[in-house]
Formats: sequence, structure tokens, C-alpha cells
Amino acid sequence: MRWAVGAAGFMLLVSSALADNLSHGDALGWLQRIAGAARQLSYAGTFVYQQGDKVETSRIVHVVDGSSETERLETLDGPRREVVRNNDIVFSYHADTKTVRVDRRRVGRSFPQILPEQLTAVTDHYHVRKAEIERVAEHDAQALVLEPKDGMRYGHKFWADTGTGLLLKAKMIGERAQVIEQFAFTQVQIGGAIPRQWLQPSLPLPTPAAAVEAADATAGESEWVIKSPPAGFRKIVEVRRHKDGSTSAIVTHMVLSDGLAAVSVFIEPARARVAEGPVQRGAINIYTRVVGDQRVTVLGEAPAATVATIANAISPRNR
Amino acid sequence: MSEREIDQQLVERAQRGDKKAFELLVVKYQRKLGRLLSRFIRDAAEVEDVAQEAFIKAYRALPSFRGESAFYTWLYRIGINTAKNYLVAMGRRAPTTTEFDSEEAETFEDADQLRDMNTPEAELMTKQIANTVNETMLELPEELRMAITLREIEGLSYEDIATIMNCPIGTVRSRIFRARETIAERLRPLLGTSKDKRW
Amino acid sequence: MVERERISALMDGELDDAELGAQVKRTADGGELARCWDAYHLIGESLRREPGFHLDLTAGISGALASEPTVLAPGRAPVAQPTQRVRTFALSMAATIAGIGVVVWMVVGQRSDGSGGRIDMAQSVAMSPRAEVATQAVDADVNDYMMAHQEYSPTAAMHGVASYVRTVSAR
Repeated sequence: MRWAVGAAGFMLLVSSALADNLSHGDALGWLQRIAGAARQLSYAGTFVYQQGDKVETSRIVHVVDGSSETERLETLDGPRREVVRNNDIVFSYHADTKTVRVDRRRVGRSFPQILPEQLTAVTDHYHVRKAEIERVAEHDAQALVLEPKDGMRYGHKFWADTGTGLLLKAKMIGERAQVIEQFAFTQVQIGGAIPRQWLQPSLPLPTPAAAVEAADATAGESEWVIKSPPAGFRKIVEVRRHKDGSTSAIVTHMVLSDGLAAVSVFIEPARARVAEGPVQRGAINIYTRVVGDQRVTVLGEAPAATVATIANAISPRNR
Repeated sequence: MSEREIDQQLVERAQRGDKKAFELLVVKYQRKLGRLLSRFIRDAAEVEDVAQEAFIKAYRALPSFRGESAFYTWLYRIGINTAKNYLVAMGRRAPTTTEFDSEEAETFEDADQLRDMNTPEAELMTKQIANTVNETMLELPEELRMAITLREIEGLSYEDIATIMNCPIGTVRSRIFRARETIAERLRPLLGTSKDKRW
Repeated sequence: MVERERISALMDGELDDAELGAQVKRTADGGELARCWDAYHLIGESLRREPGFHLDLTAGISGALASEPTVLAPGRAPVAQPTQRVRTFALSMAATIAGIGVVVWMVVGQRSDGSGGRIDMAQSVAMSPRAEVATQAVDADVNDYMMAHQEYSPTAAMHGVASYVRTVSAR
């Protein structure tokens, strides 16, 4: 019997799990299929999100129409919050603060899609196996267990619709076998005619000002190095982003991933007071640190220790 | 191989006298160039004429193309210049915005001020093509869909796909082909009807 | 069918040099094979959600090129890198193309209080007084960060639109 360090909740599973481990290719196939379904299918439904002792119900619609993709999420409990995305423009509306936020996702490559070079690492750091087939929201769903091989990452259980691969239910499981967050559809319609009015935002949305697409910077070296990140967390992307549409304030954004969990690092000039240390925002762990005159913020769906380790491993590249 | 390297293969053949290689590049980029030109030129017949002229100009200028930029970036500039000259010759005003001279056109094509022009029939056709492609994709066996996705969307080489899918390169080649051919088979009726019509 | 499979490999740059010349010649036939080349490219464009456009020069271009003097630019050194380096570059290339570069983050212009990236409904609707601007400014950054993080998180990709619930969740 193998004792997985720091993954106490999975000890009983490990001995039998090894025999049922999915092959590398099958595991990747499932994950790609799930990610693909979320993007390629049209669907609408109601789901419940549980995090800590918070339980929230939301309604979502996702429609793919030829070359265009639109989705909308609306919370049904508490103060109304709504997110509407049309291709690369995302509007987030919070009724309680009466603000509308506009974000622009990256255009071009099909983000969010799991990058293959991220995926190949998954079986290095997780045991992946098929579990039972269960009914979720009146659909047959294949359960998939991703059990971490160490304590630097969370475990996951996914239930994917057997017909289409759409994720119907998911749990993220911590070091002490506690459920950190759970998401589950209570009702879902996959495919078929989806009434366009479900996509209508509940209030008129502003037209974003014309985007300032800055010229592509030469892909130079990163100015930062990450010494000994936790096992499996490899840098997969680095982007330099403008803040507030200006050309001066630049934020460096790096993403490290082990194939399933992602941790982002944001580096920008520090302003006034910076509160250093760990913070939790729901299922996301955050760690802030000052390095020289820069504020380094690390966040992701990973244990606090992982986020802190990465934050402490960042230093400027020596010239 | 990156897109740039793939095109470079054909460009170099064309530079060594293989006109057929250039023809393949024309067929590959005709839609993209047409869309670009339609921002300046509203009439579909004129777009076709100017596009052909731009491709011929590109062919003549091939000896001076050294591969420092991607082929399409180079073609893009020739397209813009051809369109501008055409408009001037017709006594029409060419747009003054300089963003069309941008090198980065190939990556930021969406950052356009002028809407490109597509007839309602062409719009409908585009939708139908997209629907057919999407539907067929969903019906493809897992491994075919994954292979074509990794190739067309992630832009990976056969070798890298073989690593990810844990199969021989020959299998990757076969899967991508079968995915393409399955989808093309469904598209042919759609494309066939429009082949001789100008939309 | 074998022919079409070679066209598929040709367009991916995966045909040997030996086969390349012959395949190019057969494919640019102005007929069925040229249409196959065209259809395969159309499929890729559609998958990548590139905007569609109709233009078909296949009939005219052959003739137009035929009357052009054949260009010859021999003596150019091939641009290709040694194969080994190209292959490893390709794997990380996907990441660098996806990432490095300056991308506009917030589409909306700046606000005078520096909070940026928001359009206050105050512009069109009466707004309730806003307290604690300082903490909001810090929270604003974390909100921005979380939105940006979503784009690259594999689990967010699997959840699709539902992943936004993490960012809109009431605190």
C-alpha cells in the first residue's frame, strides 16, 4: 500500500487506484474532451456552487453560433451579479456596487483551451482514473478522479456527460480530504434550440471604446526567474499587459501550471502600502510580496503553501 | 513546422521557378487577402480584380522576398499598396489611417476601423460552413477530433502531436487526414453549389 | 484517397522534399485536387473562427501566371533552421506566441480616480455613495488578476462560463 504524503484523504484509494489508472493518452483525451465541450457546445442550465459554507445558485447559457461565441452567467442568490461574454469582450456587472467592468480576453488562439504542453504533465503529478457512472442533472455522467501525487496541489473529481463530455459536476478536494469547492448542475439542456433571449443581459451594456492594440513587443527574455518552483509547476505563458488602456503601466503576468492547476504571478510597480502575506479569496489562495520596487502577487487554485513557495521563489533576472 | 516555415517551403519552390507552388499559395490566401481588400473596395468584382493583380505583383516581386517576414505579412503590404493605387487611379480617396501599414497585421487583423464587406449570401454561406464544420467535428471519433484540433488550433507539428497522443507520426498524419476528409465530404455539397456563382 | 492524404500532409509541411515537388505539381491542377487543397484550408479557417470571405481566383490565376515570365531567385540560402532546433522551438513556440507580447488588458479608458477599467453606472444611473475607496482599489487589482488568471486556468477551461462564478461570488 502506498502512502501518499499530504494526500491523506486519498490513502484508501491509492492501493486500488493504481490498477485502474487511465493511460496517458486516455487521461489527456478526457480532459481535452471536457474543455472542448465547454467551448464548442451550446447549453443552458442552473447550477449550484458551494465554497466553504457558502452556497450559491446561478443560471448559465453558452451559445456557439457559427464563428461567434456568447455566454452569460447570472447569480440567482444574494446581490445580483452577471457576466456576459461575447467572443473576446467580457462584461461583469455587480448590482451592489453598480459597476460594470469590461475585460478583453486574448483574441486569436482558442483560449481558454487547455494547452497541450500543459496537459502532458497531468499524469506526472496526478493519478487519473475513471470511477463510476452516475446520474447528474438527469444525464449519465462518467466520474473521473484526479488524485494528486503530493501535497502541493489539490485533488479533483469531475463528472462529464457521457454523451458530450460537458462537465456536469466537479469537486476540488484539499489536503485533508475537505471539499474546497463544488459545482454541480441541477438542470441542464445540452444542444437543441436555446432561446436567444436567455443571452440578453439584464441591462443595456456600454459599448467599449475602440481597443488600443499596442504593437507586438519582441518576444524577449523574461525579466524574472522562478528558482525551484514546486514540482510540476512549469511556466507556460508570460504576457505583459497594459493596465487601464494606457501604454505606460505594464503588468507582467506569468502562469505556472502542472497541467491542471494554474498559478498566476502578477508583477507591477508597488504603490504606497502593500499588504504582504497570504490571503484567501474563496477557493483561490493569494500571496503578496514586495521585491525591490515591485509588488508580486501570486494566486491560483492551489494550496496556500504552493502559492507562497512560488511567491518566494521569484527574483529578478541578473543582468 | 510553423505556418511561416510551411509557406517558406512553397515560396522557395516558387522562387526556383515552380509556378504551381505559387498557385497553391494563392488558393491558400485568396480569402484572407480578399477580406482585407474589401475594407477599401466595396464591389465584389473589383475586389476580385484587385486581388488577382496583387497576387501577380507579389509573384513578380518574389525575387526580393527574403523570408525576413512571414509570407502573408509581405503579401498584405503588397495588397494594401495595390488597393491604394487602384483607388487613386479610379479617382477615389484612399483611407489615410496608418494602421493598415502595420507589420502586425497578421496577428491583429481584428483591429480594423473599416468593416470588411461581405454580401448577405456570403455571410450565410460562412455560417453554413461553420455549422457544418462544428457539427461534423462533434461526430468525429475522439482521436480524429483531437488530432485535427492539435494541428489546426494549437498549430502543433505531427511530431509533437505524436508525443501528446502517444502514437506514431504516421498515425497522426492519417488521423488528421481522415478528420479533414470527413468534414470536407460534408462541405462539398455546400461548396459545389457556389463554385460557379459569384456571391 | 492516397492523393488527398498527401495534400493534407503537404499543407502541414510534413511531406518529404522528395515528394514535395511532384505533389505540388499534381495539386495545383485547377480541378479536383486544387479544390481539395482549398477545402482543407477552409476547414482550418473555420475551426480557428477566422472570419469568412468568398473569393475564388483558382480559374483565373493559372492563366494569369502562365503569361508571366518565370521568376527565378536562385542562390538564396534556405531559411530553415536545423531540424532539431526547429522541433523543440515548436513546442515552446506555442507558449510564446500565446504569451509574450503586450496585450491591452482594459478596454475602457482611465477614470480620474485611477480605478480604471470600469464604467461606473453613475454615468447613466444615480449612484449610491461609495465608501472605502482605498480598499476597493486594492480589491480592484485582485479582481483584475482573477479575471486574467481565468484565461489560462485549465480547470476554468473545463468549467467554461461557470468559472466566472469564482470572480463574481459574493464575499
